[in-house]
Amino acid sequence: MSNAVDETRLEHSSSGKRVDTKRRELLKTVTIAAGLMLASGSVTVARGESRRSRRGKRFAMVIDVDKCYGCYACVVACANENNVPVGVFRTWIERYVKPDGTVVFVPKQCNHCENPSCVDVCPVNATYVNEDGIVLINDELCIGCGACIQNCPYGARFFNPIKGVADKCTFCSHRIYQGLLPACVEACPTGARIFGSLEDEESEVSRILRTTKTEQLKKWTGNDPQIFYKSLPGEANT
Amino acid sequence: MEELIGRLSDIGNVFPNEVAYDYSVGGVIWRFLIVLYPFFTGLIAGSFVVSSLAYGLGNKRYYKVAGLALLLTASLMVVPLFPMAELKQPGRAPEIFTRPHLFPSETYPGVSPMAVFGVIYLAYLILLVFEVLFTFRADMARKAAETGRAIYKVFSLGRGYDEASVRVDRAIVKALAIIGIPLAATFHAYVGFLFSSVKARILWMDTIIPVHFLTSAIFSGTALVVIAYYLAGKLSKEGIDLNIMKGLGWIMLWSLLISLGLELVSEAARAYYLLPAEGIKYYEELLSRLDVRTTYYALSIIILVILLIPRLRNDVRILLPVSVLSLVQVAMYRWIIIITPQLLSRTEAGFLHYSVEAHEVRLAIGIIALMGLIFVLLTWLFPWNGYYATHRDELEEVSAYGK
Repeated sequence: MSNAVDETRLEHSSSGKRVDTKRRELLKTVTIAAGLMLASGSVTVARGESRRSRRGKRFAMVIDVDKCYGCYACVVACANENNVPVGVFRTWIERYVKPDGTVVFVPKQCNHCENPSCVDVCPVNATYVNEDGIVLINDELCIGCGACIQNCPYGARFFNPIKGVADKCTFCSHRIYQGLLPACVEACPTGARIFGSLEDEESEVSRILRTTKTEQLKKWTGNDPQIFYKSLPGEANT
Repeated sequence: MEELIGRLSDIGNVFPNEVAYDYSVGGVIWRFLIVLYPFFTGLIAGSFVVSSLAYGLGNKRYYKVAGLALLLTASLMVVPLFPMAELKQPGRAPEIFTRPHLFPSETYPGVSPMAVFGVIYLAYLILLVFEVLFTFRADMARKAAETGRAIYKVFSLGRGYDEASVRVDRAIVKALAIIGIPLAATFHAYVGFLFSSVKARILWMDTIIPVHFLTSAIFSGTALVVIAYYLAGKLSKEGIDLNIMKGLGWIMLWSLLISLGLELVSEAARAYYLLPAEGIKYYEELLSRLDVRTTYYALSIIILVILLIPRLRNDVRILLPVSVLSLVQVAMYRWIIIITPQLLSRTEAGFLHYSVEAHEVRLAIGIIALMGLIFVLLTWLFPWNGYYATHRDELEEVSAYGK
């Protein structure tokens, strides 16, 4: 949300200026330079562009940290639904203690990034982004090199010790296309996890993103995560 | 599990998937075999550069070892076995050639640096095969004429060893050796790029890695040529040309100086970019836990001092053990570059743990033994000290030997 505000402010300031010939020349040079930078792969600018053309339904999740009380129902439901082996996690809950002694629970999982660095580095096209923005893995194609696990800034990927391939959260894609909610969302007793499509302006996720301040994890990576946190403590932003 | 709980205070804040099911070996994803991979691609690049100094750039001094260095390079080309053994699905390894992620699309955004491996490796392998064939072709033709054996006839490619043929060979080898230098450099440096392109690991965010890989590759590759030349010279009763050893020692000195210089720059830069964050605290704590790093710097200084003193550098009896130490030093450097950054959790607030496992050592020994076997086979088949492979100046005399 804060991004959108910044962009509008920028537009106002640039349109309000009087542009004379010299400035136009300068502007031209700057535009060419910017174009060259874009062509040479200037990450921030090029990636900012892709935000505007979201993929299909663009499924996303809002996690309200204030509502989570650390019951682990989502972790258990996920393991049960997806047959996740003991010792690895598609979703997990981190516990932080604030200086005043308050305990904060932060549920985490794959962020289904808009620019997933894990998909970028897969050497054999085994992991991909589906038409609705969900990052998935094809078990039949994965060679198990670990590049995606290494490149996930959120520690969301792991080697599945039984299948011997990379594994991670799928947003319960087998459920959501049947009209069901992801298992973790359904299991959450406090409604701390809210799932929905960003394409649908009226969905609860879109509404919350419009009206409330939310945060993404490790924004500097340029991955543009699609899990948005409400009242995220600073130290949990890892 | 009890062990894990007991060490929780040591670990700090890490992601659960990082210490997951294999805590006994820690959360390190790329391990011992991946440390050996860039070490050996470095040897490949370094020894190839030594051979190209003679064959490509016409440096007469190194002509005598050029053939040996080339065979050394060729015998190490089974190096992809290291990462292959590390794969969780080794049977699917060839898919990196058949289905590389080189072209970005909506479903598969980005270009995988690892997928470039297939292209570079195949190109370099083909170049090496042709360079070996044409470097030793004239010697094989001469052997075929002397012994009449079929195998030599095959490797003579159906031509003789008259002056015109040898001139054609040399032109081809020169072209291949020159094209090979950037190719060998890319084959090695892109491995460094694999690490420096991982944005999730703060300690890998260092663009100096690929360049430093190259300079230390020349250092270790030259050291390996020193050892191989010493052994080959003694075993074949050919004797050792001290002038060559002098030159190799000189290359070692300069490549070591540049590598250490680059390393200092990268250390200094790291101290600055980690300063604003909590990172530096964890980094320093991480360093204090590492004996391998202290040993590495001590070893580097010892090698540097010996190489800096001309009297010691030019003495083969000293240069030989120094070369062995140099290989150890570069292997340690690869460990520091690959394992250490993975020991700092991606939360940048916790530590992981890694110790080499027995099966990794067994695999490594197996692959290194295979390299040794291939080297022995190649030096037995191709005459590393053959007349035409080692003599450049006396091209005029070639006609005297011609048919």
